[in-house]
Amino acid sequence: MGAGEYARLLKTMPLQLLLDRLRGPKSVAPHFVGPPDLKPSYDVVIIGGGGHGLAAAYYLAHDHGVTNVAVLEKGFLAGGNTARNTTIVRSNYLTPDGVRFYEASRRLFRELSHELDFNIMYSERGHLTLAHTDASLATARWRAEVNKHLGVDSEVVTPEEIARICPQLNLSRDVRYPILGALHHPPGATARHDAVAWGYARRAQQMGVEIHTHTEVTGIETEGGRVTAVQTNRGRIACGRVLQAVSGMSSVVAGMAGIRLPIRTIPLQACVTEPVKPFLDTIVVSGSLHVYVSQSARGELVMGGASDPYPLYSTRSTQEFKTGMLGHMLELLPFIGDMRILRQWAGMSDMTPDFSPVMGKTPVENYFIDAGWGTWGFKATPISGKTMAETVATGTPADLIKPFALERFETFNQVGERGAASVGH
Amino acid sequence: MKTLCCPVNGPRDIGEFAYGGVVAESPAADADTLVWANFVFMQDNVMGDVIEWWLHTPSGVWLIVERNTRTDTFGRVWLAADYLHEARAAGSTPEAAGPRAQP
Repeated sequence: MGAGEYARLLKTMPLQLLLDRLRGPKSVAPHFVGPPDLKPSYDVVIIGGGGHGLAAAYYLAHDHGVTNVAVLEKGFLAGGNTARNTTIVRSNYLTPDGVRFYEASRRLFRELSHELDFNIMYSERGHLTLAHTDASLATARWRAEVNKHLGVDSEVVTPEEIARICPQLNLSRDVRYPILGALHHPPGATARHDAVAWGYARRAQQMGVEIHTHTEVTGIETEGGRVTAVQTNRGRIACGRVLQAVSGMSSVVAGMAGIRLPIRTIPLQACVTEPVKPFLDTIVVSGSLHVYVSQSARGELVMGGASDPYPLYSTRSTQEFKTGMLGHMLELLPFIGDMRILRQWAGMSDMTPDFSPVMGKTPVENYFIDAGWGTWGFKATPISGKTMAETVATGTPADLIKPFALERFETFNQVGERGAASVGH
Repeated sequence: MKTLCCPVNGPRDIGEFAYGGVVAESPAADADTLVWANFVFMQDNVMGDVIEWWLHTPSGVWLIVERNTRTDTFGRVWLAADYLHEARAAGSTPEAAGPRAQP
């Protein structure tokens, strides 16, 4: 072991924690300081202080040296869909475009705690997408072959192998929907969603980016096909470029700039149980049963299901959702029947016709969009930030996001990812 | 439980109904491809009052329903036939587009 490696070892987290403890109590500097008043203008205004907007701010500063940036968030930091997702990271998608994109994201996620010097609690668990019908087994095989071709660890497994990977699952044939097989994706992971946003926010702020919470955009001024300023509840800001990253409210905000999107806003509900000791390593998804479940670091079972059956701008929860979802959940994990639901919530999802995002340029020349994040936004946080930062800085869409351009709906080049969505919609 | 009041069947559980999309006028059959692409894919995605197609699936009754997409509350309800009759009298033809199922 060379001197450099020793030095690096000394910087690893467990040793740092030990050294800090030996040095005695110390006060920790606050992660965020509220910025001063809004400046009259910025080079880049990012609308939306969730994971995607904050990641874009970080990569704009880190990769491109663009630091005269304001992130505007109408609520509190990362309190929208970044706080409402179910934190799963995977790259076992169906189309080559999707697989490349989400795999690049997964790779960034793996290194993110080190890159941001902020523990995002990245935890590789393995991910099982259960198949209960011949059709879903065929899709699993299709996905596995596309994944392997692109270097993503993914394989179809039999019930015998499932019993070894996740012995908690009810593999009985004597149920309504017996498990016939699964798509196994060993790198499937979870991460602490808040920490991802906080980590990006803190580093972006350290590099000069301003983060303005409780600052709502109320209007967008355009002139000759270019955006010139955004109006907020705290005043008007002139801007060189704008990046919109407000999934859930994408149509409303884009509408202020006169842009129409292929998006319907549909709630996606989720809930957690009371915390129990760790017993479920694997992330389990069943598209046919419309359920997915993982156990959080706190011990709660995080459960979700299909999106609601009709569009709605609301984060209300319904009894129908839980009745349907938990009925299926009890078939997969019968022994959780005595556990109680602790919290329930919903997020507003930007559903697109092809289950892929809308990223890149818009008809307004200097207005860039990061939208259409449906039920797949959290796992794309790092790569969407990185590619949108490149797109905003250079004015040219990054290669990885070219397939997700808004124009694809005019040229009929959709990127159909419905078959890789966790659950039915 | 959320209910929708069907003019034929009375107040019924929302689970008995299927959403059919916003009532819209379709482009002419020979309209430009771009016009059709916009009609098929682009959405107004209104936050507020909308007029929509809803189907009571057990009885097969199509309704036109006013709904607020922010409060999740229903307003006026028509039998689709009555609504379309009135629309035609007013010179529009929303039946040509028909209900548009979920993507």
